[in-house]
Amino acid sequence: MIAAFLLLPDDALLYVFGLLQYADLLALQITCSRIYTLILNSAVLQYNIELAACGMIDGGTTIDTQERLQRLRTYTLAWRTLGWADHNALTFVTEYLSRYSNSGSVIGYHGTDSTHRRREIKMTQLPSKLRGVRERRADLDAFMYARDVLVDASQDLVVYTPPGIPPLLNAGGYYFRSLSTGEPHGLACSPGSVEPGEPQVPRLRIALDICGDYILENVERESRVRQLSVWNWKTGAVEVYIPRGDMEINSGRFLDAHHLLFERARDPTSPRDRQGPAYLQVIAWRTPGAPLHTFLFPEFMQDRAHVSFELSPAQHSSRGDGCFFPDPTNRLISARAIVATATAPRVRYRKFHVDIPTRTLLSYVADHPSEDSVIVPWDAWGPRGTRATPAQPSDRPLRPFMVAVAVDGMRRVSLHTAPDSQETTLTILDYHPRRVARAAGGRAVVEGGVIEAGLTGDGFGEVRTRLPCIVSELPLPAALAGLAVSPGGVGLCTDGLLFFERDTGDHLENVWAYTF
Amino acid sequence: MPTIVSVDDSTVPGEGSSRLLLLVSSDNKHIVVEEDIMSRSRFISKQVEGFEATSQRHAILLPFSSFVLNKVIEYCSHYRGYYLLEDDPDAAPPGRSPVREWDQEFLDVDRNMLLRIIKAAHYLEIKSLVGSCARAIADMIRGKTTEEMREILGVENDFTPEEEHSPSSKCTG
Repeated sequence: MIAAFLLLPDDALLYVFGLLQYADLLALQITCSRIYTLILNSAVLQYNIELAACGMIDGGTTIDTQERLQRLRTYTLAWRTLGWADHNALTFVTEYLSRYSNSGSVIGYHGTDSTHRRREIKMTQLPSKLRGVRERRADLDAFMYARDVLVDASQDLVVYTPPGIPPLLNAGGYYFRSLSTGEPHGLACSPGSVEPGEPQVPRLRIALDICGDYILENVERESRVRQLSVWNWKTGAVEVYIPRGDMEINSGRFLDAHHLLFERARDPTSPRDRQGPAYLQVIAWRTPGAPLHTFLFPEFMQDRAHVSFELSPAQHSSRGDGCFFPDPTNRLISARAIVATATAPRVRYRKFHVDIPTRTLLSYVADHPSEDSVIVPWDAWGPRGTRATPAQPSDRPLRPFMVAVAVDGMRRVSLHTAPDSQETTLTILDYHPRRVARAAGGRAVVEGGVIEAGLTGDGFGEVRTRLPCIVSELPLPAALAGLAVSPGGVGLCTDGLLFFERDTGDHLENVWAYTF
Repeated sequence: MPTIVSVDDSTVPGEGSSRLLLLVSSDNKHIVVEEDIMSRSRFISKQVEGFEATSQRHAILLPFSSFVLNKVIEYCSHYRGYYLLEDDPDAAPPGRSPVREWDQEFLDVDRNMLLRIIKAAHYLEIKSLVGSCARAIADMIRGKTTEEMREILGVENDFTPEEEHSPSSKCTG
């Protein structure tokens, strides 16, 4: 029966198409002209295709599909051209540059009072005209000089820690408040509960992360020994404790509910300098006896290297925020390794920069459930079957000095300042979680990408995943021209960018939030 | 114009108190079925309303074969007396129909038959059956290449070579 399918009426056909996912729709669209026209003219299907293409999820609002599609297209375009809707200027006092917590479109930061003590925690929901997110502000009296602030909007939670070195461990050193009411959070365990097995040593927290019921803390003890522990903030029980071993742990984050990513250096004698081979490690902390996957940069085995990484914040936004919102599983790890190859009189560095979607790393870990811990060279991280291909030395001019880098979702933003002209350029790399390459009659969904490596003649090396991405290089917005952007002075959020401007005196920072 | 058969609605044999309907398929087979069973079909319900308005009952002519019609009647008989949300004209339409195991077995037929059933279901306005068929068709083409999809659906590539390249060059995102 030839073309029996096409004899079906339009609405029955659309019913079938409505059940298909992004990649199938794209493949189906080019089967014949009638189907092509049908899919092209259906706002619902186009909306679904474009949502998947830019890694967003529908927010389920009452705005009709045509309008949502229009907004989605404007939103995607706004990220290419930085067509700001407006900007907000936030001002806060902080000693710790850009120590703010980003949860979806809610940022939490330290407020100030006349005595310049950070007693208040200020929370701002950055508005987005395109996604229909209203601006909301709330202040929370912390009754103390809060040191770390962590916001999780999906759990209506603000966590902060007291200043200095807390004498108590775990829950004792934390305050849990409700984001909406400011009252103590009803689900948190009672303060002061201490895990009996833990040694009572004063310690300093380096980094905090939260994922559902669990808090990850990276602590430094008296002897500057750093280690990670994960504990349940509702019960106070320590779930996992990663001792230092013969390696130093510098920072750690939750990759997802089951995996931790952290960075180690092998030279325990000089943890401050973070020198030694560059490692990133992933462990499935909930599985007893799970192997430790060590991802290393072989080029840095012999060198005294510095490694660090940025990981997109977990998108803790609640579903009601906006008519579409980012898929929380789209996160990017942006790892850097730098080593000095020559010192005075002319300092030279080799530097590697790798952007890896957490999905790629997690699928690698899932595919290699070996019994023993494994060491994986970075060029094997790629998606199944791909290997690194050495790139030709490029003629491109050397990257100017990178002032700041930030990641959010599948985007990486960096600020570069040209050494001669002091002109600042903003580079946004927009990786596509699922980009479909459409050849005539076929299709290929690119889920990972190929990792590319190369060293330029001048000793500068760059490794980058050749993921499908759109690179936008733009000058700073006119209003920010001549801005003294502080080091680490750029932030990303779902709807735009944050710029940190350091005032004289090193204390007052202006935060300019540009949103779409 | 086929013969119009009047059905005596007073004589109802058998267990139910439901009245009978005469359905005539495109291959001119006459099938008598209880009205109750076919009430799932919006098309039939509207016809029945028409009968009541004019107090004249006649056969309902359907543009598909008795083979397909029997299959649809089998479906309707199975769900006789069941409430299915998709078929409720007053309820808000569900996002997508739920997976029903019986339907999956019922629709385990060849491609052509599936397409005929969905066409008949669409004609008769049985949304739950359209939904189940659509799911079965979607399952067939999921994960296939464009060429395979053409073969499965019996669709001819009618793009000109220039056109064939232009749609694929439009890349989303």
